[in-house]
Amino acid sequence: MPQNVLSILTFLPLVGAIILLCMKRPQDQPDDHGHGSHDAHGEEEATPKAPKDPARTAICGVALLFTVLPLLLSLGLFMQFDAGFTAAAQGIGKHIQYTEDVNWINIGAMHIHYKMGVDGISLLLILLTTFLMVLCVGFSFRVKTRLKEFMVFMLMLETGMIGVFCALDLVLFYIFWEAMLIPMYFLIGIFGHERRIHAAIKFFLFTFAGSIFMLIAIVATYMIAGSFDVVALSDPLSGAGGLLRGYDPRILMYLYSAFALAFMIKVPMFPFHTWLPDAHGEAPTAGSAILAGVMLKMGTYGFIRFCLPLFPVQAQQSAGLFITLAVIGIIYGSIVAAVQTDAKKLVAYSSVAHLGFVVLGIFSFTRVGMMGALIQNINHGISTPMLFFLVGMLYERRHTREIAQFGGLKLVVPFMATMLLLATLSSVAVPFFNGFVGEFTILQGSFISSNGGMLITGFAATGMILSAVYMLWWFQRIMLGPVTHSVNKHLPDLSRSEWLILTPLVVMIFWIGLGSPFWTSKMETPANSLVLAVGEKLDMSLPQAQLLAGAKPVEHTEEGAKHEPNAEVQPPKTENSPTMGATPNEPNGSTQTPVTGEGTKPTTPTDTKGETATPNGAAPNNDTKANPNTEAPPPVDNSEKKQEPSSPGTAAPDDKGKPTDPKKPKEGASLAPHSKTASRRTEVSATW
Amino acid sequence: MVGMSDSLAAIVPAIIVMITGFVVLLGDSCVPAWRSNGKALNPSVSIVGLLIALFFNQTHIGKEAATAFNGAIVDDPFSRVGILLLGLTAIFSILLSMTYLENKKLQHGEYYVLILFSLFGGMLMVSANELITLFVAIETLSVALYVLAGFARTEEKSEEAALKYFLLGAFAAGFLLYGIAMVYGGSMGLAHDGQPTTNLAEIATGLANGGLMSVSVMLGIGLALLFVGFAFKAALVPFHMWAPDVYQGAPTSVTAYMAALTKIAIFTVILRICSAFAPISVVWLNTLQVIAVLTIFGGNILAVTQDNVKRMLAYSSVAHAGYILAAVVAVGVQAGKFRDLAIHATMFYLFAYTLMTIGSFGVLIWLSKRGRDCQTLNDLKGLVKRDPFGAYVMLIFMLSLGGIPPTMGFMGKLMIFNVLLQSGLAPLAICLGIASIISIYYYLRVVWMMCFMEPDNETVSDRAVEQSGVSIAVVITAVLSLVLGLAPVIAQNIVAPASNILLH
Repeated sequence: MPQNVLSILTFLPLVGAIILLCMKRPQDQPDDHGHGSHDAHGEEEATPKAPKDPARTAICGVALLFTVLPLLLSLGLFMQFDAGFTAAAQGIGKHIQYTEDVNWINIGAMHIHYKMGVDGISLLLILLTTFLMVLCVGFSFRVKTRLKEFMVFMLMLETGMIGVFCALDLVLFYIFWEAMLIPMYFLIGIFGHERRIHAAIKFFLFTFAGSIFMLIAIVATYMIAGSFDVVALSDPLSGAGGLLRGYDPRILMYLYSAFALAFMIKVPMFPFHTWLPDAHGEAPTAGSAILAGVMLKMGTYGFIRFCLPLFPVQAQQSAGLFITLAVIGIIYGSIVAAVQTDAKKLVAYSSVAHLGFVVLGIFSFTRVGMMGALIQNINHGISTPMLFFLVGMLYERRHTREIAQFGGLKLVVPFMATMLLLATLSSVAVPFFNGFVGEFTILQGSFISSNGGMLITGFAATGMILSAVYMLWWFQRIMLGPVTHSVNKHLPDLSRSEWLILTPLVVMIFWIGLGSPFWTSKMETPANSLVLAVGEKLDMSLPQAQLLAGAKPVEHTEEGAKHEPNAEVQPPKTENSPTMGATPNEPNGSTQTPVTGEGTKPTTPTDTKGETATPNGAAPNNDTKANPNTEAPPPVDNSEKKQEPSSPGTAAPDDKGKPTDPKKPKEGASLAPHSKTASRRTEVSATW
Repeated sequence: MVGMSDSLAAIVPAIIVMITGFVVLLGDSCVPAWRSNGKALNPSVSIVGLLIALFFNQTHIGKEAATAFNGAIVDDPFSRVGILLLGLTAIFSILLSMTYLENKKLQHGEYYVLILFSLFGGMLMVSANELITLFVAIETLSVALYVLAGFARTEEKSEEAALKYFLLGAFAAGFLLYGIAMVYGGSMGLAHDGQPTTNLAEIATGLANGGLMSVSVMLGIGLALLFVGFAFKAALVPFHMWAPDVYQGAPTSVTAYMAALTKIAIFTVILRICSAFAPISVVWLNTLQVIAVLTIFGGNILAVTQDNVKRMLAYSSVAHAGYILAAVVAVGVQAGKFRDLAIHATMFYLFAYTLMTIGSFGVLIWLSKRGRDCQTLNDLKGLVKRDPFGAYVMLIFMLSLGGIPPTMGFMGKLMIFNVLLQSGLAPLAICLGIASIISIYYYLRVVWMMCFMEPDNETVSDRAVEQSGVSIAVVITAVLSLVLGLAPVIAQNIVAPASNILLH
């Protein structure tokens, strides 16, 4: 790979956009419906008659080329990414690869660098971006008016999004973060539905309102630490990181809040979510897919990349608030989604709920939860765009997004119904599907976290039930039952191009659902070291937490030794004190490491996933999974592997009774096999 | 003043501009051959004259500072940067005017003469190191602009603009003069000979050496009146009322010129005065901060409801004056500790502001059809379909005005944030942040009118006949707004010498 491969990857789409700008503008196709809902001749729309406009074909070809190339490039990056390198590195920010660093702008004593680099976390998000972009561009071949502009904006957007995930300089990040808004503003404003202008301006204003304060905070961070370099700032041992952590905590709280506000709006978290239904509802299909698939991830990515590593103490302090907002978001988003009459808005509100899970996972400050959040990030980026694509396909056939306008479509379009069912189940987080892997892991993380706990997890778990309620009901209203509207009787089923767009998504749903380690293994190390650096908040009364903590001293002593000089400016250490308490159980740690190590090797990803999945097969079973925590636990059968996922829950009551049991090491050892699956899948890998 | 050459060489660029003005004036009125080719000859001669002046100005860069007229005029790196910005403004404006005057049938040689004379005034303003000279320079600039504002004699709006501008300008001149008198009275003991003085260098030296035991009331009042006068000229809230009417009424090319020229000239003057009076910043620091906050919010909030683009841009220029003032204020923090940074940020922002103001008015001229201005938001509806190039160029200017990367406006805003936070004026930075959220709304409103709406019958769309002048100016400013946003180092190198302000 060339030295500046990330720059090539980032700006390749922009090159495409510039080439497109120089190309001939294709004729607008006449049968455009404008932005009203016309039912008159909706049927003809379904199979876009391939117009033999060479300019049109050329535009589509170039646009596709410049999205496929970044996809291939990012796939290559992913394959070549050295996971061993990351395992060897210690501390956050040191997992970065493909780094580029050039001094870019000097303002007085202020140096802005052009610094790019990726670690496992951002690399996967880049991959998600390039992957979705190909599908979105493919889907948008049918855009009838101003096709050239559409493609130019899409490619510009891609540059902005990849740049956001690559940037390791705060100002550079901000530039990509803001620049990306402009093409999105146009995509919504020009190509959206009826209330598109309102939605576009709302989207822009909300995001800008958050980010302008982030800009002030970025500059203020420089005043304190003397660097915009995210890697240096994240590292408490570096000069900049030390300065930042040693500064007045009150000021740091303001800075943290400014960063967090920008990301909360982007995620969006509960009180700031109002732009999302508008933007998602009004955007064109590809725009909604990108918004949901990638843009929302930038908020959570921001938390992971900036808020947590730069302001660990403040993040810890505010964890309660964020977890509360996340849980409110989950429940509120689900309930509001259930009553939507507009199919797109329903999917939009479901995003609020799903992203709530992600934030819950991040702020649980456990390695399990963080890993779950990262997986869920990707999952949501696959299932929600698929839902938007399907809604878009329905819209093209019927020119309406009203759920009531459909019904019984399964009889007319069976393949489409199958696809919709797959996407729905993925979104509901049914086992075997990708959603389950993420949400279950998040709940597990939140359960063993001292920030979360039983009550919070219980509330969050209702979100899984509610998601089954609104998603399945939605599916039922659209697809099942008799055909209620006569116009629906002759809708065409999936066309070849639609198959081409949906199939990769289905493959990804099952690939992550059954074999997530292939994708997630490379972000394990950065995620773990991030949580450890911020300070893992395990509820030590839970056996699984002890197990996880037991694996930790190995890591901790290494880190601890390095951190010693900074001990006084290292408040996370105090957060670690429960762990320190556990450290005396030396045998605990030493006996456990091999056990978990064993756990990693023999089980293949596929079958463990299947096993964890089975007991929770149907949606109502989510209930039983959540309830043991609050109600009477079902009999614990240690020998039965099926109970494994619930082991933290079921074991909790026994353990709580005797938290200071002298037999702790033994107990921990006996429990090890139980949580083998969960811990193996998520974080206690051989590296510990 | 020791060891400093005192010669006319210090004002060579200004003299060249003056001479060019006379050449155009005499040529256009006395030479029949010139007159018949006036529409091409007047602007080209003016531009050539300006380029020569700027050339001389640039050859001075790096040279030692010099004075003229016993130190009343100073030629220091700071003023050289100011002159460069003023000269560029004038060149761009002349390019805009070529098209605009042709469209409006206003081709008269005097127009260019007035532009050159007002530029002469502006050049003296940035070089003036003495309050009386400064007053004369301000009046030279203003009088020419009063006439220019009313240049479209047949239009009522233009007449009204000229009258309003003149009356309020005269009013401001009164404040200014009275303020100068007060400062003179209060400066007793500052000059080396113990006499009162209006020479800024002597005042600055005296203040820096602690020549003033206590700030007299007279000096305080004098400074306050001085700033009231400047606030009128720079259209700072609450002295901004004339700006929207004048901006709207004046011919668009004049509006563009006026908006950029007065901002550059006045803010360089304010910078010089603030630097000189930095040792006694307790007197003015808080007041100016309050004015900055009022201006930032006032300008932005009032701009939101405007339907006329020229009026909206007028209020937006009020808001931008507030942003610039915020950076200027930092000069006074801790007795000038952050002066260099503040001057750098101010000059950079002025540069950015010049490009985007000239550019956005330029697009309006570009779109104006013969006899009728493209002025209202309605006129812009559906522009992207009729004239995609114009629409996307306008987009660049709107983004730059709104401070969205990757444009120069963003870099300027970043520098202002930097100065404000460095100098501990964080509340001002936060006000600026909140206000720019408001500003985004009305800048984007222009964009959505252009790009998201369908054109209706009311819209004025036809391209003007002869477009070369305005297209050159618009394209250059648009490209610069983008390029200097990504590579601000070029602009930074241009404005960097400005930190070297001559005070002692």
